[in-house]
Amino acid sequence: MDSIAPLLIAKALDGLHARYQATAENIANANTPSYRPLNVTFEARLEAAARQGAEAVASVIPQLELAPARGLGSEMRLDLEIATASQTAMRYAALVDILGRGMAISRAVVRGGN
Amino acid sequence: MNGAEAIAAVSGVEGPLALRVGAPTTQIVSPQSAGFGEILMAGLRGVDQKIATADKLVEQFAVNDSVPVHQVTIALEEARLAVELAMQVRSRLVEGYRELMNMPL
Amino acid sequence: MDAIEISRTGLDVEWQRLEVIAQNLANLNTSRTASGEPYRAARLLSGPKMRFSKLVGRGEAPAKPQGVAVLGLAHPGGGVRKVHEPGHPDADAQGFVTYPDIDHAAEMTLLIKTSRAYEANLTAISFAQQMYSRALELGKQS
Repeated sequence: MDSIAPLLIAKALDGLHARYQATAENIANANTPSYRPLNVTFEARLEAAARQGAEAVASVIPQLELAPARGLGSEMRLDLEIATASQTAMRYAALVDILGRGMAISRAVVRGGN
Repeated sequence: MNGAEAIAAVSGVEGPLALRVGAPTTQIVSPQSAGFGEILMAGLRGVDQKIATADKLVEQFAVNDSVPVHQVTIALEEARLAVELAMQVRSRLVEGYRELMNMPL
Repeated sequence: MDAIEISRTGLDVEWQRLEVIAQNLANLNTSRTASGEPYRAARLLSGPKMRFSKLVGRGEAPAKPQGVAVLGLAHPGGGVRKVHEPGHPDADAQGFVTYPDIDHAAEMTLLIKTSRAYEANLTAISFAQQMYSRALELGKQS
């Protein structure tokens, strides 16, 4: 099949996995003074690449960023990090499940009614 | 004529309900105006359409978290059921054809 | 999931409101801030995040709910009360010291409201997670 859906899902899973690791790192540093939280970005680039085709998608890599040293977003908010962890885990589970369902359809074709 | 058309000619009905694969908007036509083959092709097009819809939704969901996840799972489930049904139809047809061909005449 | 993003903004706003209340309570007896001015009680203002174009057609619901945001800080009321303390280092010529006019009971009431709102947002998140998981169970057999 020419569908880029499995590739998109795989890249999204990569990004979410990286985000979860960054979030775990942030939570572990709950008591570190003047800790700068880590963020992961990939969604915007993945969406843009999806419009361009499979090669563009294959080149998307999750980006690890350090939060600004001062101002908005520089503080480590434990409750928001936990919310991020839960959101990331849920979306990861959803994408894995959906990938599985897509494979089940292909499997049904391969089995051919047997 | 092939085995499938032979069955339709012998039975004189338009075909069992289970063979009407695809969207409910498929028209039910009399056996004289649409052959069994055409009904089958329409059914397969319906399956193809469902797979395409599901694929589109999956692509949208993979890049955008705003797509409601239930829409994606429902579309995937419908596509899977349609494919499995089509595969069953194919098996039954092949079986029936073989049986016919083995009849001593 | 959008619903969780909306609840996140709620958590964020209530947290900031809590910080403002804590600041007010901590400064109940502040006679003078670092800049020399008396401390003024603050209130966090928050509201729905809307595109400015929507504000033109006031009264209609936003096309897509986007959650809440902090709109600013207000300093309601007169803000100061004067107490006669001639021996105080910050007393003025007449012997009066200016303290912030913070209503302790009102602050505590707002604190309770804020904490309830915070908890409600957490509950909303947990329900959204349940809905999400249930949608993934579609079509699963046993």
